[in-house]
Order: sequence, then structure tokens, then C-alpha cells
Amino acid sequence: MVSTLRRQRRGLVILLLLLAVTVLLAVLTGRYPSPGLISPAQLLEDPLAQSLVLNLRLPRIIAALLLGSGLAAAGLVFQMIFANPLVEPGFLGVSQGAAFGASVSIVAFAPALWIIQLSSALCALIGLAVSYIMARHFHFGGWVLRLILAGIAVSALFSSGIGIVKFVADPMSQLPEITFWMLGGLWSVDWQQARSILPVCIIGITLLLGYRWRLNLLSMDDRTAFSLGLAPFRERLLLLVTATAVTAATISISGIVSWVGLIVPHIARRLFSSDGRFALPASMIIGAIYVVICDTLARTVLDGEIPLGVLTSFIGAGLFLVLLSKKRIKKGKYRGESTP
Amino acid sequence: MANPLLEIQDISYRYRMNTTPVLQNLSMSIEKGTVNTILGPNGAGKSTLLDICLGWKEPETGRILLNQHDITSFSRRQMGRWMSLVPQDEQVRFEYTVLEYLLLGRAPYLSQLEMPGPEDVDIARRALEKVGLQHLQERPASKLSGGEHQLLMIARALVQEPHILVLDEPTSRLDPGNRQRVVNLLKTLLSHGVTILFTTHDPTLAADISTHALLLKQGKVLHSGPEEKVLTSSNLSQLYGINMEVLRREDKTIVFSTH
Repeated sequence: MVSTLRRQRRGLVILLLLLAVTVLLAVLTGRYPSPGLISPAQLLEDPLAQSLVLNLRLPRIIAALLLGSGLAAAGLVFQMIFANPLVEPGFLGVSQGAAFGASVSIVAFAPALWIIQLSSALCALIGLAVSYIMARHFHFGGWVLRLILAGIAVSALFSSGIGIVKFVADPMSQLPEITFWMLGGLWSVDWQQARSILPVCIIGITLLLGYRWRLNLLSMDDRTAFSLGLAPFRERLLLLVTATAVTAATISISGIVSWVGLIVPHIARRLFSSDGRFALPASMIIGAIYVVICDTLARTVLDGEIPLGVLTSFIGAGLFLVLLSKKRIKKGKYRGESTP
Repeated sequence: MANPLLEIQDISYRYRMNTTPVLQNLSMSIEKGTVNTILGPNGAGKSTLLDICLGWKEPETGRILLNQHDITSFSRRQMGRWMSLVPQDEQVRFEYTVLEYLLLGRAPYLSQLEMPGPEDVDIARRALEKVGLQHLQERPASKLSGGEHQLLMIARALVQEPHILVLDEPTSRLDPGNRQRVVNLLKTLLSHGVTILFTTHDPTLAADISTHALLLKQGKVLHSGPEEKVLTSSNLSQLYGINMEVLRREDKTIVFSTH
């Protein structure tokens, strides 16, 4: 056990180093002065490059870090408290709520960024609240099933709302903007936006990290968790609201970035263990690395911007298929572990 | 007479309003250091009664006293230290190792943001030795056999270091070897002063290890008291509605059904 603990801790340190390297490379990568890496020496000499890094790349990388770690943490927490490895942070009406809020504000108001951000965050939380309240009123199935069903129904309601908004949107100006928002991306992020989500993300993620061992208890069925001295409903609700707040805050500046919250927790569990003490921090670091890499690709590969959500889904779904079909890794791991 | 450790006073419980109650005006008391069996046909309300003792289900009427205090006055953590549950079955969705799984039993001793430390690991290891699974500590809990998993759930309940150990049909899925292991384990626990409450469909098991028995039929107590007075041929026949025979030899009691 001690050696396992040490191995897992070492794994986390290695991941952190990898993250540091990724961030450093992301800072130096871009399309100025030419597509690719800029050398640190060149950066020090070129004032334009410095201002580019400080005012454009850095806030964007910080937003990518928050987005990746926040979505991955929320995803892992959701998967554990619902004891279901297939849920993702937006499934309780949160993602579709955010998208609805954003598209309404694009059509109804002058599309100032802060209005879009506020309205999407607000509608994301409304999505959660409605899902939660509906689930309480269902007369069907267990609590988790009711929540999942309510989430599906509320998401569908918001989707149809988005459909209506798209239908009435100006096809030349508003419709493309809605579509682009829903594909997700960090192209518009500046310092102000990155700062605006920082408090929610830091407080939320810290709280989730504090609960990382207790997540194991909450992944047990209600009766078992209760008999272990927990108040499972109250504690799940606290984590649910916290994880949703982090999700809502991050997607309010990024638009819909899917698959991070679903795939990254799987990778983290595969590399470390299901124990939340390691799976949660690992998930956060891997999520951050993943989104920083995807966002760097999004802004450098082509002349124009590739939507971030497209990249995360494409790479994420590909990885998912590979992970699920690689059974041999899993078996090998157990065999190794079972030998004393 | 000493005050009972756990006392259930006149409780009734029903799942939905306007349905017949699962438990009706039921009372029972459990003394410290005894083994108490609840016997009854399927649907008699045995598991419900356990849930009420644990505080998981709230009775419609009546109250439950734990060490002379109403259980509603205990905090969740305090309850976790007083009583632990070995459920009939449990689904573990994620792959925890045996040791990670056992450490969950330390929850009542840790605050919300605390993690188990080396002492907790020691306690978990000792519980694993008690059930004889120490060679499996790094194995994924989900890969254990049915018998091993039952022993593991008992070990986790022991990690909680409870005053009262509650078991829901602990031997129903076990082969004779594992069944005997559980029996021996419960006897050892009894000698260490742990109070035990369990349900079973196996009257022979009840006679073998319990000091007290309660026969439950359609939500009501049919008979209760010291095991040798309650587990008789006529009482068990009345309970199950078939002819039951109780054979008592010096240190062994066997219960079987006749036609």
C-alpha cells in the first residue's frame, strides 16, 4: 500500500511537470512572427511578441487551464456521485442551458461578451435547478435514475429553445455567432474574462479537492454511504452544486467544449486508480494538459481558428474508442497487482 | 437488569400512505454483548426493521433508543461509530482495491475534508487479517468471489469499530466452508463484546450462534426472547407455516422441515 501510494504520488508529480512543459510550449507557440515556436531569446527582444504573449496568449492559456481542470474535475465528481462512468458535467441541463442562455443573449441583446457570459452561466444554473426540482417530483425509479431522466428532459427542452432562437436569428450575423459559440472556443478570451471566472473556479476546485477521498464513499449506494456515517443526500447536493458552478463558469467563456469531462476521468482512473484521492487531482492535471494542447492546436494549425469543441470531441472520442477496446492493458494491470 | 443497548419502542412503518404497514407496533430490546437473530418469512419486514434500527428509515410511530438516547439526537458520524451494517449485497461501480475499500469504514472517525492516515491503514489491515483475507489487500474488490466479498463487507463493518454490528442475511450466498468462517468470526466478535444483530432464513445458524431471537411475521412479533425458548418446533412451524423440527444435542442444534 505504501509503495502504491508513493507510486501514485510520483505519478502526480510527473503529470505536473508535464503540465508545466505543456504550458511553456503553449506560451511559445503561435503564428507570430511565423507559425510555430518562437525562441525565448527572440521573445525577449521583440516587444510586439511580448505584448502578444502577455495580452493574448497568456489569458487564453490560463482560461484553458481553468476550463480543462474544471471540466475534468466536475466530470469525475459527477461520475462518482452518480456512480455512473458515463455522465459528464453538462448532463443535468447545464450545457444546453448555457447554450440557450448564450443564443438568447446573442439574438436579443447587442452581443456584448459579458452579457453572453452572464446569461449562459445563469441559464446553466437554471438548468441544474430545474433538473433537480423535477427529479424530486418524479414518481419513478431511484434518485440517480430520476436525476438523469430529468437532466435528459430539461436538456431537450433547452435544445428545442435553441432551435427556436436559431430559427428567428438573423442568418447573416447572429446565426453564425450562435453556431460558433456552440462549437466552443477561447478565441475571445482576454484578461478580464479569465479573471471573471477565476474566483468561482478556484473556490469550487479547492472544495472538490478537499472532498477527494470522501468521493469514494459517495460512490457507494445510498444505504451503504449512510451506514458509514455520511449524510449522502446533503453531501451529494453540495458537490453537485459546486461542480456545476465550476462547469457553468468555464463554459460561459468557452461555449460548449464537450468530451473533456467524460474522457479525462476515464484516463485518470486508468492511469492511477479509482480512488478519488488520486483520480481527482490526476483528472484535473490531465484535463488541463488536454485542453491547453487542443487550444494551442486550435489557434496555430490553420490561418483561422479551429473551434476548440470540435478538436476536444474529435480527439476525445478517438481516445475513448481506443481506451475501451484495449482490454489487455487492464488485465495485465490486475495480474501485476494481484501478485504479492 | 442492565439497560438495553438498543431499544425499539412501539414502531410502525409503511412504504406508502394507505398501504398496510410493513411493521406494526413492534418493540424489541437488545442487551449489550448478545447475538440477536431476526427470523421470518420473505416479506415479513426483517430488512425494514434493520433499516429502522440504523436510522435509514424513519418509523411512522414509536422511537428507537440507543444507549438510552433517541437515535435522532445522534449525529451521522456518531451513528457510524455506534453501528455498522453488512448489507445483503452491494454494487461497487468503480475498481477500488481491497484496502481502499476497507478504508471507507474509517469515515465516521474522519472529518469531511480529512483523509485516512497510517493508523487507519493499520486498523484496516487488522480487520482484513481477522477475516483471513490479508493476502488480497491490493486486489480489486470487484474481482473477489462471492464468499470473499461477503467477508470483505464484514471486514469493512469491523473497520468502523462499532458497538453494534448489523448484518442482513450474512450467510445466504455462502458455501458451507465460507458459512462456517462467518460463524466462527461472529463467535469471536461476540467474545470481544461486540453486540450483533442479524437477519437470516437459516434457523440452524440462528440456533448455533444467537443468544436471543425474534420471530417476525407480517410485521408483527410472533415470539421473542432467549434463543432456546424461542426457537422451538412449534414456534418455527407457526412462523413458516410448515412443520419444523428442532433437534438439540449437547452443543449443536439442528432445525429441519418435515412434511
